[in-house]
Amino acid sequence: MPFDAGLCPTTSGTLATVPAGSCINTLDQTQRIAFQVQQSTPSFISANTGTGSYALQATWTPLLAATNATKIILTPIITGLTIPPNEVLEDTNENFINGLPQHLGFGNVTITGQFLNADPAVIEALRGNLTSQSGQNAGITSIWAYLLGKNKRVTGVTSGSNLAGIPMYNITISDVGSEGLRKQNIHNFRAVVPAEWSANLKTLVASFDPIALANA
Amino acid sequence: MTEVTLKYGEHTQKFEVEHAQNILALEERLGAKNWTLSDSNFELKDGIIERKNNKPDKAAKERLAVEEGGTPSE
Repeated sequence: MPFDAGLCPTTSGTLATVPAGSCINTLDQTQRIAFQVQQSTPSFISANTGTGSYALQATWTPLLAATNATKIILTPIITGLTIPPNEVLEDTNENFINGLPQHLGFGNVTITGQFLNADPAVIEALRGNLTSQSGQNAGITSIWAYLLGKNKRVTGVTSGSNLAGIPMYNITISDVGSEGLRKQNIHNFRAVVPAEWSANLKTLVASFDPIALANA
Repeated sequence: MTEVTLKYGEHTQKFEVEHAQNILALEERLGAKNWTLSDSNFELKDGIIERKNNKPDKAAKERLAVEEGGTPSE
């Protein structure tokens, strides 16, 4: 359970068991992002095979081609995607015992990246789909995302035996920027994920290259 | 809503016609051959899923009979 300074601690006196950890987890370079409206039952199972497996291209194509709420849309190739670790939030007051601060939790995380020389029509379609559904009301989003990365990586959030998306808020794509001669057009991408966003993060490896998928 | 059956390996699934067409079109763009049409009532023509005409072609039978010197049946 996430830390909440306003609640009693879940453990008192005894430390909970820490799992051995079966594998390292590296996001590495995220190269595209797949967005979907949040589903009550995720569209993917975490298993490497079988109907609905995230690892199979055959699972993705019906979702990309869908005409209902299960539809997945893809960004163009994104460069320089950065996900900083979140900051610790503390209340500092020299009148606290020995001047030690009170821990209040963690801050939200702002994810940033850039689309280079993107088709304006693609950018406009992404904005139309994503910005209002993820930022019209503060703290509410209906969008989640899967990060598609280097060496066939697919990153989402474990939900039982399923792979859910990562809820993202305030997804925005800037207007184009250019610094002139021989410079690339740049659209800045920005999204916010809340504290504890990576608590159940899971990076898996597909049997095909998800970067090569296409919108339909 | 008209549904058609697509097949992937041993797995079959019904999709609404437009969705099925989109899937097959995307598969072609991606150079993939995962999903195929597997519905005896429909066929794929130039990327469009059409209902098959399963009625016997009576006129063709009559044409054949005339060519062979017979009498067309009523």
